[in-house]
Amino acid sequence: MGGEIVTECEFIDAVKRNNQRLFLIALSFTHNDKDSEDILQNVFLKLWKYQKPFEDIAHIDKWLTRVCVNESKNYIKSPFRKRSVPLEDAKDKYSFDYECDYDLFRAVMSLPKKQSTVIHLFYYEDLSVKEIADVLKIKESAVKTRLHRARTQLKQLLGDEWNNE
Amino acid sequence: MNKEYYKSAFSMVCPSEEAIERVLSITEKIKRKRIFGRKSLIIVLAVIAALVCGTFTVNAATDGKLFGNIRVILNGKEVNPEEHNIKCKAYVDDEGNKIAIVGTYDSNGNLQGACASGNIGAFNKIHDGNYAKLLEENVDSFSEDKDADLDVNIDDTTTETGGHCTNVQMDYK
Repeated sequence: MGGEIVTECEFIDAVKRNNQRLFLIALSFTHNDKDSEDILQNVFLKLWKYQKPFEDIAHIDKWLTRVCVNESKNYIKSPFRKRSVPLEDAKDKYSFDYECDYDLFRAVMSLPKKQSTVIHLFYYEDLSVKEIADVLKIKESAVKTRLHRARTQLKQLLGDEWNNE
Repeated sequence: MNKEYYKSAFSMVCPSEEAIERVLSITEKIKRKRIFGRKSLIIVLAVIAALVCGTFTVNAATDGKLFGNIRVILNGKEVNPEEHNIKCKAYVDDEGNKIAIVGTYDSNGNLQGACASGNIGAFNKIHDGNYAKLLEENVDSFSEDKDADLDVNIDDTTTETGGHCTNVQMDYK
């Protein structure tokens, strides 16, 4: 890579490496698969058009996360976003291995969007509270509050399946 | 424990094959457009700017400095924007979002109408939602896009009430 803009091969690798991860980040904001796919497309379009060099793969992935979060935030504020039916057919669409997996997915999607975003960045992206605050441009205390509320609600919805850790 | 549970549950949730195909075809589409050299990024937003009084008279009040390669086509004819009280600027933010703004001014240099075109994310970033301010000052993370290459097509017609109706379309090349 060595400080050059992404080549076609690097772009394709980045898509394969990140498409699911970024889709899930967008989904945590939108709770809507079609909107999330639109965001995914916008994010990779930006990568392809980005004219500045990346240091390495980690730099690309981190940049993609930041752009995906910003795109998602902008998208949900936009009056032009699709307001299609949310993920009611998720159980048929995604082949969950276990009923409890679907229960968790449904529970997270039922959270307020601000909470589902924080939960997702924490539990799936393994970001720390500080990193979440940085990427969402909010205070660490706000992240902690949202995490706490989300965990409490998940505990109520999922019972013993969810440890309040 | 919750992290493993969470990751396991969400590992089955992914974008559709069609969505991934669309993303992967981005390189092909952009290349094709680069080869033909037109409209690699289309940004079209027809905005009607109703101007109360006569515009497009000769005036030197606006600095109207052009950046990059911005062509102003007024009623089908390429013009010098400074001579028609028109100011055009293109901007880019730190994520590469592009936005172009065109404004028309009265004989005293007061902004009469402005319209903008570009990435929706860029619009949402603009402080106070007032993109016309960008014509006067940079806001937040925006900077002038000195490499911008676009056509600004302005159709100016007089309305029945004697005002002007201006339809603007901006196409990045």
